[in-house]
Amino acid sequence: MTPESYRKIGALYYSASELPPAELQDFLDEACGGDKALRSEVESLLAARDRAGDYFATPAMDVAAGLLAEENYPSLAGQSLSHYQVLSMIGAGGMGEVYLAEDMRLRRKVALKLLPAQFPQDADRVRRFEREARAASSLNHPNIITIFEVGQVDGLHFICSEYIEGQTLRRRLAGDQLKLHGTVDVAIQIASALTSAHDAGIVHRDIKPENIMLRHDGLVKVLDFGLAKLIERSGEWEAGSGEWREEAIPHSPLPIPHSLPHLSTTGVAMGTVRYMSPEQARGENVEGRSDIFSLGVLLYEMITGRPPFDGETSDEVIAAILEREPPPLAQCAPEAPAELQRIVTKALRKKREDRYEAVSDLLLDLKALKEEMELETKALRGRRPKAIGDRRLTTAVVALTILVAAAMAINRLTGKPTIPFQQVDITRLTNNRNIGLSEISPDGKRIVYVDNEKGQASLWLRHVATESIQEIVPPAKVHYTDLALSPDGNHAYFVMSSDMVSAVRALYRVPIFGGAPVKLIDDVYLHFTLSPDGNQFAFTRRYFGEGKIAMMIANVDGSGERRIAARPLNEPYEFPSWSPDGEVIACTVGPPGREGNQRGITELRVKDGVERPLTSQKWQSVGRKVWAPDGSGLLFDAFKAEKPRKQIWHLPYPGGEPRPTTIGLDHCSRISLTADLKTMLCSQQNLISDIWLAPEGDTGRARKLGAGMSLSWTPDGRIVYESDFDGNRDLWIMNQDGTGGKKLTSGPGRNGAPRVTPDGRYILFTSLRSGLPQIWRMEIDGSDPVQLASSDNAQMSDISPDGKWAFYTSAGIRKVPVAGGEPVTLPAMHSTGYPSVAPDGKLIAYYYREKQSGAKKKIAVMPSGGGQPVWTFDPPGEAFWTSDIRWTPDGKALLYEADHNGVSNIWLKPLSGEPPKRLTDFRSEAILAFDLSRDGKHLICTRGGWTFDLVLVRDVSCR
Amino acid sequence: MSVSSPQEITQLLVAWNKGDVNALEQLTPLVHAELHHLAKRQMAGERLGHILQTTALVNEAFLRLIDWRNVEWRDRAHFFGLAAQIMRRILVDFARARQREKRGGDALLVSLSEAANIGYERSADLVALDDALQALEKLDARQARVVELRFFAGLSNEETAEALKVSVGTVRRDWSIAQVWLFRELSKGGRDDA
Repeated sequence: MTPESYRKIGALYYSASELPPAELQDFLDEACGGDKALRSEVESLLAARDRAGDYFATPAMDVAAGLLAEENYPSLAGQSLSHYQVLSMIGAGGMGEVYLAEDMRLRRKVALKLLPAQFPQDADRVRRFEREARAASSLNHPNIITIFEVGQVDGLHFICSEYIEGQTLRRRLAGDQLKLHGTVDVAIQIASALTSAHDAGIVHRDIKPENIMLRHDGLVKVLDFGLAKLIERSGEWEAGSGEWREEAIPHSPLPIPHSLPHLSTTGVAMGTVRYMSPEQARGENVEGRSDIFSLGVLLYEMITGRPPFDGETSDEVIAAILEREPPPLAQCAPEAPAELQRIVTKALRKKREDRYEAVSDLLLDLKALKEEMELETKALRGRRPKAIGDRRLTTAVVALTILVAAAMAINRLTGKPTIPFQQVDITRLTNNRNIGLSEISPDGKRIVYVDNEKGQASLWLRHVATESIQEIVPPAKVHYTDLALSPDGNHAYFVMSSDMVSAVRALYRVPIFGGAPVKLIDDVYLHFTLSPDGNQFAFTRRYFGEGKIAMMIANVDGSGERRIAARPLNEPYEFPSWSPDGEVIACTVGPPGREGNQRGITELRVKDGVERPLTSQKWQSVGRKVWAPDGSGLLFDAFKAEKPRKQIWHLPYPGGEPRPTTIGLDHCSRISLTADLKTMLCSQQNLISDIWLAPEGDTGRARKLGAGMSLSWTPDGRIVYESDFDGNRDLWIMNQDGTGGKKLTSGPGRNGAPRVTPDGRYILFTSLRSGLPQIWRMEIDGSDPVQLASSDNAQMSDISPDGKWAFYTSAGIRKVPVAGGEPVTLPAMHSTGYPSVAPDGKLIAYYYREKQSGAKKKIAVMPSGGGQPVWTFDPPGEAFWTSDIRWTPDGKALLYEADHNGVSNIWLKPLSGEPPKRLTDFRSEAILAFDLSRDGKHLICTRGGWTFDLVLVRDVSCR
Repeated sequence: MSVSSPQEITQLLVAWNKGDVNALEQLTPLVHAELHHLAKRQMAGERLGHILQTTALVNEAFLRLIDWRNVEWRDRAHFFGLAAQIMRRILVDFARARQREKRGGDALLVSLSEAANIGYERSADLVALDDALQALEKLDARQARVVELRFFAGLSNEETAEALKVSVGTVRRDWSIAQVWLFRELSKGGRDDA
């Protein structure tokens, strides 16, 4: 190497190092020409850039001092300490030395952390340390290092923890750049650890790469939980006693008030400046959201390879933390998805109230992102292009445009709102299928729909004239929640979750004649609507931090997101529908998932987000709304609690009374219309459910008694059941051979979930006759109905063996005296419901779900007065159709329903702990309800399921 | 340990510059005293992670050794240069002595690439760096001076520029190139592992 060539290489390297990554290749191509040796020199220097900076970040003086410091730590290797044989030193730092040791009693390797000798000798202080260290050691989570012992021997305080073979994240970061998937995975594991710690009231306070261990098998372990606080406090304590302060940094580098005492007396804070939250840097109180910030810093550094806040001195770093926004991820990591940017930005907000409210929210976002990334990888692999000529399309577009224009013109000319579909011709396109969302093209020639057969969802194109179908997106275990076609009919837009349970969804676009789906917008709640010109979307997004759901508008390519209005999360906007003039968006609003007429329709003004109800009427559910092309009204499917089935309604715009149409279609939902308003597509839902009796539980001898839903045995061997035989869902009673059916209730509203008192006198049941589901009691012959309890969303579940109490579900488990009186809420620790009382009346079995979202239903048993579960069981199975639980008459086992591989059966689980065994042997359909006769001999159950079929409705009236 | 007055150190530096070998002998214990001071702080739990022991801190530690404020402007630049050289000499000697002591004759050197992977957990190998810096001196003498001033003396870019009478931009550029060059030379693994 000559000085000349060195100079040349150096100059090229320096120029290249200043370039954005995108321009690098072109620059090198041009600057190096064909000189491969030169280019490889420059490239190898570029590759070493970041690590070189780190290597030289510690000035020589300090490096030398470090050598001296190391020497002066007395090594314990080879000695024994309590029952630990110290093997070797693993590391040393501000928190003391860490040794690899062997626990001589348990013969396992452990890590022993010895606290610095300077640790306060004060007895109170030591006790406090031990107490708090023990609290930290109580954390039990796979991503948190397990602490075995906190102790003291010969005046040395030590913490004994599991020994982790792996490397610290710091070391990992110094190596090759982490892959995005790996980064997200590590962040998820850290967030998961923090979630668990925060739940236990423990803030880490010192999240940094040195405190994260990556095991060789990929498991991440977070170290030193809560210790930062302990050490920090000890620092204060020491400072108070005047011992450490003399050793404080000799100059005052920090321009921020209060920061110097905080930083200079706390040893731990020193190495952590880069990962500090603004509040930590200011010496303010630290809480869970401070950990979120530190995790955000870590995430940023993992993605880009460099810290978001940097500087040559700690003051510069702190100034950056307090004042500067880090460069966008894309600058250093162009492949990072926008969602990751959103997550990082939200975690790194300067004000803690602007960050994620809880690390569990961050965790949810990270998990959803991971799922999405996996899904995208899968989707990219799974795509295959379908070649279909484009010429036909152009023709279709032209034709369509003319059609739309014509339709609009005609409607304007006639000038009066018309209720379409007065006389119709109905064609069922599919038969007993499981069709999900659907949409007809504006010209009425094509239908795009989601097929939900066999537990997987796929997107299909159907040509109306030829009835031929083509797959657009292959089957996957995902959930589609909304679908629309572009005005030209070439593209389908849809909202899809990344799996069957995920609550985080994104909006995609796919060409309907073949091509890969493209993700346009992350984090969409359920639904969206296209602007009439097809250039914008309105969609909903949840902001958990604020507890709000927002109506967002974005360009059709996903850019230019803006928020126009927001509502509380528990009363979200659903099924937005953009008006033909582009001025307003009609939405369903109100609390979802609740029984009773509680949801209305409002319009949102696009220009300012002002909300106005379109009608004072309320429904139990309001489905997707479609506008008449002239804007004169809306058509939608809706369900009134007191009516047996969904109907199609018409709401005149801008004002008028909503009315059910006369279209003779039951259970129809999700309407779409052609531009000429002549054809409507909808999905028709049918519940097929039949009551079966299996004598002595023998499925082979099971026989069908007739149609019905929920049911119960009476003590004298008759069956009380729910049926919509004559329109309304009412309770009936019949003999066990299916004869002698007699109606006990007569509307309005659904009556179901019957239970009969042991003396056979009363039937207790859930009724919606008042508009809301409540617990009612009537005589066995249906006379004297009385409402027993007025609770929110009450569902009847069971009666105590002495016949005195009715147990029901209403935001937990409650009971009310059968004779009437005040309801009592049972204390229980889980999100619980569907209680079933044991034959001796002493225990209650019930379903519960653990806190995390998407958690499976599990079964627990607790004392009948409520309290801690005495027995829990995680029933194997993929799906659970009913929440009924029954006890065997001896009280030794529970009966429950579970679906294995698509086949639903009743299972028996002994409380003694033996594995569950299958009681019935059905080979198809779902079990929707069941009951066991009092003597335990005869099983009745309702089997069936929903079918969803496409129905085409043609308007044949003269308009 | 008694610390000599700043004036004394200044005189010693001048003497050393004039070829007085004894001056170095007298300066070394002073630097060692400062090292012990720093080491004590590290052990007291004030682990000087790679952020905190940045230039300002070490700069100050070093500058306490010489009374540059009493020196004329022209000489001040001169002293910076001198100080950097002497720091390099003393620190590298110190590190070399530790290495011998610790590892005996046939000690296993941590290979530089491994040290680099350890990243912040392991600090720079001063002895190996000194060798690489000698090689750099032959390729670009000014860059080697920049490394001395920035790394061994812990000066800021501005102070380094002042000492070398070049622009801050030049210092930044030299430091950037020299760092990456040295680091890559050290991690090439051309060095023996014994």
